[in-house]
Amino acid sequence: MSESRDQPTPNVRAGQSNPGGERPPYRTLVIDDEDDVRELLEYLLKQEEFRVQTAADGEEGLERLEREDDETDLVLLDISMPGMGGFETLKRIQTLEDPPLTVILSSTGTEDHQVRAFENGAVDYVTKPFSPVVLVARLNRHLEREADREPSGMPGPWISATEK
Amino acid sequence: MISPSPLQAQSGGSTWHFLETGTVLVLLAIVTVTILLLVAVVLSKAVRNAERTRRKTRLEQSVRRTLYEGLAAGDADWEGLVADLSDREQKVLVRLLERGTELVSGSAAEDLSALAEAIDLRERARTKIESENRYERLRGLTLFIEFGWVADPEWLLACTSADRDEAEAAIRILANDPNPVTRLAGVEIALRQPSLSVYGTHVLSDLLEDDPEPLLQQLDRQDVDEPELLAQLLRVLVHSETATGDAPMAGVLAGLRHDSPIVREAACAVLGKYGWRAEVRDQVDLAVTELFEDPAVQVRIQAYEMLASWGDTAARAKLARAAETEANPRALFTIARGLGNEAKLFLGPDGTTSMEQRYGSWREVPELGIDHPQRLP
Repeated sequence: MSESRDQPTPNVRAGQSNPGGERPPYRTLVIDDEDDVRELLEYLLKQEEFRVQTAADGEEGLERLEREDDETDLVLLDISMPGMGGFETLKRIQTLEDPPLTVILSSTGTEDHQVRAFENGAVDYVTKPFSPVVLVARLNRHLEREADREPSGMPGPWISATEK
Repeated sequence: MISPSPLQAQSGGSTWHFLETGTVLVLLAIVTVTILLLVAVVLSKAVRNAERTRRKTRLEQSVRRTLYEGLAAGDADWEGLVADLSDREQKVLVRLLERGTELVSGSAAEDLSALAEAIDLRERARTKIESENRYERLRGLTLFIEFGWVADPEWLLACTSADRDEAEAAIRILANDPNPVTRLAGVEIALRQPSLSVYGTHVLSDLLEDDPEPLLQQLDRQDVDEPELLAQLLRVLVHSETATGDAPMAGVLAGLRHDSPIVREAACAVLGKYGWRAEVRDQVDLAVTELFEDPAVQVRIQAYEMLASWGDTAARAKLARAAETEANPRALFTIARGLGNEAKLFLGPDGTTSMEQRYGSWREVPELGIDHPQRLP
């Protein structure tokens, strides 16, 4: 596992924002067993000012996410991996106290896989080959929406209005 | 009872006792040294392999960094950069580029393709396609496919051998740039084969998807001898857009009377899409009786599907006529689907077609003001 930078940064999940008004440097964890994919994503996301960590399998990724000081905002997760597969990893991620957003990145785009991924908590499903530009746009959108949410995790205003 | 051998007798029953202690020690030393040598050889191989892997990884990382930095720079001097790379580094770069085309699409894939061209990979792929070596030719064709490069159809036609894998790869390359010339070349390449694989049929369908006329023109010559290939080409027409205008249909119509049932079946499937052409329907009318009596049930079913696709009164009347003689349940079901709501006029409640069964329990009920026959309670 590698980490691009070490200094603490604002965390989307904590509802913090960048003091300068710019987008916070989102923390991303790429879990994929293929070196080429990990390194390509690491490069692409760093270009877009993401902070990127990588893990070669589900166990390694979970170990990272379970650390007390972990503040990962988003996980890019492969489905087909040796050892703990993507679906099992996804399930375990959802059991974490404050699970990061998880986007599946897979070569398999079957309906069954996609439904299973969403049922297990994925926020998006991207198939390879993917357009890096589109991928980054999707990740940004998910992360911005997450950052816009109330830190308390309360329901949206339309529900609050009804309850009032 | 087995008596001990003279040697055993001499050594008091043990086979080892005849060896003197010194000899045993020498043997033990030889065995030990041999084992140690083997261990040393294995260890040194492992160390060398580890070192090779480490060097390879370092090399890959270095080339990958060069590639990514160049891509990020946008206007990197690739030719100068590649000139500095060793042969091994260039091989790694090509591998990374090829892998990249599997991972990314859109503008990133275009960047990779442009980079591959900048490092002369396209020219090298052309040379490979022109080589005498089948492996090299396939490698060159694969590179063209991976990077989405367009090739001159004439050149591709001239280079492609009779090998099916090569032919299908060539059609796939032509599908990168579908136009009348590439479509015609693709059909010509396909016609050299006795049959296509599923992949070949698929890529030919891709090439002809928007305009199947070049294939119709070729079929018009009626010189495809292999029934399997002919049926596959007809199936390609089924999956393509309908040819507009007056594209020649003689080749397809001839398929209705072909000796092979797979061809007759496929011809029916194609003609289901051309019911709007009066002259096609006239020709089918001449063959329809034979089709209804075809010994192959799949041909009859496809003939009914064809009429069902046409769907007008004349076609439904023919389906109704077929319902009177058809005995196969699956074929009857196809007829019933084609007739839609009118099926009840021709089929009995259990799907049979005998007059007694069809009409025995049905009666006009004019007093109820119902126009259509209704089943009596």
